[in-house]
Amino acid sequence: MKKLLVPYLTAGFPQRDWFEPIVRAMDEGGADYIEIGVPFSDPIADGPTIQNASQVALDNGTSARWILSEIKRFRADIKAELIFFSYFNPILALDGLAGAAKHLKEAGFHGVLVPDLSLEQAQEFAGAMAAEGVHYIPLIAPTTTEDRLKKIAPVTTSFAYGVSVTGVTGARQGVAQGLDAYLERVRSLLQRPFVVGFGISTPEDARAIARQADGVVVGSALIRLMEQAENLDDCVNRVKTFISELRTAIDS
Amino acid sequence: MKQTPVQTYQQPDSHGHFGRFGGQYVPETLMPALYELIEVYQNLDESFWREYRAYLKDYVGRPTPLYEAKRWSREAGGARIFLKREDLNHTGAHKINNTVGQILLARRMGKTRIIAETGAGQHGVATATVCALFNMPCVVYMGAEDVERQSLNVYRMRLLGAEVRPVTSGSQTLKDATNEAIRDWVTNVEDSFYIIGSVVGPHPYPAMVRDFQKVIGEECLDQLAERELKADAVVACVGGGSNAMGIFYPFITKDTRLIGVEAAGCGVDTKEHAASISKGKPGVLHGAMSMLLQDNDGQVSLAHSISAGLDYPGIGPEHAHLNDVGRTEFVAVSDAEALEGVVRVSRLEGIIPALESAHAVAYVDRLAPTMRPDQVIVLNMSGRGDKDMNTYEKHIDAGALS
Ligand SMILES: Cc1ncc(COP(=O)(O)O)c(C=O)c1O
Repeated sequence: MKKLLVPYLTAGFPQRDWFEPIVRAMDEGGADYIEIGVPFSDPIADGPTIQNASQVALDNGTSARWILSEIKRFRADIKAELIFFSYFNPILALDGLAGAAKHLKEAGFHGVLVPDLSLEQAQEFAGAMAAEGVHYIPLIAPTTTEDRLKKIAPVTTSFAYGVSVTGVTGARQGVAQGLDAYLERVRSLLQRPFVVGFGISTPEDARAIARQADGVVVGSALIRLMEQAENLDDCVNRVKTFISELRTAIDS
Repeated sequence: MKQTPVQTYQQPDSHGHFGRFGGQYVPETLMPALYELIEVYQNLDESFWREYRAYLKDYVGRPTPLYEAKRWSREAGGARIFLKREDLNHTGAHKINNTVGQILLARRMGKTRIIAETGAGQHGVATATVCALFNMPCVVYMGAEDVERQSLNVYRMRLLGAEVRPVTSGSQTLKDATNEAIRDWVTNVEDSFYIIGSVVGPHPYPAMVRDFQKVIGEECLDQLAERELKADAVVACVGGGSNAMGIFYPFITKDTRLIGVEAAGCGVDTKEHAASISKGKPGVLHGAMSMLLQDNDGQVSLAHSISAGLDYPGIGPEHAHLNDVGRTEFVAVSDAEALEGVVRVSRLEGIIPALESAHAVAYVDRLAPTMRPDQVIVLNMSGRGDKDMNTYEKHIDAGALS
């Protein structure tokens, strides 16, 4: 099976009108799914890089509603599937769960990923999303027990997201050690594909992870590229080049 | 306002829901740790509670007095006002009731490192204190703004051997300190125990912290019975809500008005307040669904209160539930009124309250005259004012003292 490449961006970072060009660059670079991050005031699962990106995006006036209207406008041009990546509270504020599901469907999202929504709390949420054909993407962590994996497997309708470390998001030096047993456990209990993220920052990291998983998620490393960009053209070029390098690395 | 009586009360349910509030809204990484905690907490044997009570008695100095504030009652002209003297606890506030309980739990679970967040610094000090007592490394997250306005408590924590990490993200207050503590917890969940300072956070924390604080209300019931009195109203300030939940809980099934006092900051009709029940909407922050100050996009608003311990945009889920079912009332008191309360009870009773507790004082000053002289108000004096001297010196003008 082809390995999945899943880049993440915080919508509205570093500037609001760069959103569409960055999404297009990710698509053209060869992304399979793009995680569209909704900035939140209290991102408890994020390290400094994405915390900062969220704050900048909020200061730029980025909101979930704005993101939905933008995506709706250019969705048809994008080949990749789109995942709405948001903490729970901004989703709740989109006219409740049923309302949010309708909005996501109308904008053309494939799935939704909520870092602070536990499986215990997700039943009603996943049901509301499924009613509109939007996939709930569960998270798995190194601390997830076999028992919990057995509960996560049946609610995984598209793919699952495996967190590579016990920790918050952020680029790290090298990929976490001791992943083998954890990823083996996930592989043996999950019928659907799973991608792995948190701390993947180079094509080498991505290649190593892709050997053990069905795909990779890259977030903070991309945000750091965007931070360094001198202007929009430079940003788009850097993003597209990096995505193609990741593509080559995981396909080889 | 009329409150709805409750005959029986069994909250939360097995998933930590208090009505439509509470629950467990946390990253998957933490879920196994929460299950472990629930398992251990629900199966504590009598030896745990014996040890907990022994520390409360010999180390914390419980029971705390229930003192009748006669001069103040006379001046206010109405109900008899009693003060539950949590300010006399070791370290100067109710917070230590909870940290004693949680550190004993952490030891039973074999955890070797303690994390805490703090606003006013009282919970940080109470955590640093029990960590010194039990020889555990302790990291306290505190908003940079609070580090400044509660500098004495920062020094106390350092003297006790804790590491204080100033948090410069967001509003640089309690909310952001809590975010940072949760991030540390997610990263170090194998060996670290997070001692939460109020009845907030994911299940089982709100119920557990309440259980460690309910000793306040239980003692009040005994102390009232000794005097052959019953309470007509119990009043407490509310930040996250732990001192309030601790004193309310044993009274829930009694015929007693329960009144929580939120911080109105510059006024509840301004943008600068911390009145989550009066002005918030249901939402999720720090692991639980509760009432939350937020904008229309679900972004959490900055709270404001002159008191660092009340400067929080959320509130414990059990309070939100009790408000929902009409069992409690919530009122709000401004910065200025709280400062007046400080002077009033200092001058009339020789008791200098913490800025947080002064919010309850200011409300009781309004409430007492509306009640009869045979009626009884119990005010939870959650802490003493030592930590707030810098603020008092700056904000209470000389005129008020002459
Ligand atoms: C003296 C005192 N009272 C009240 C509070 C507010 O917390 P809670 O609402 O959990 O009692 C604090 C918090 O720091 C405090 O120090």
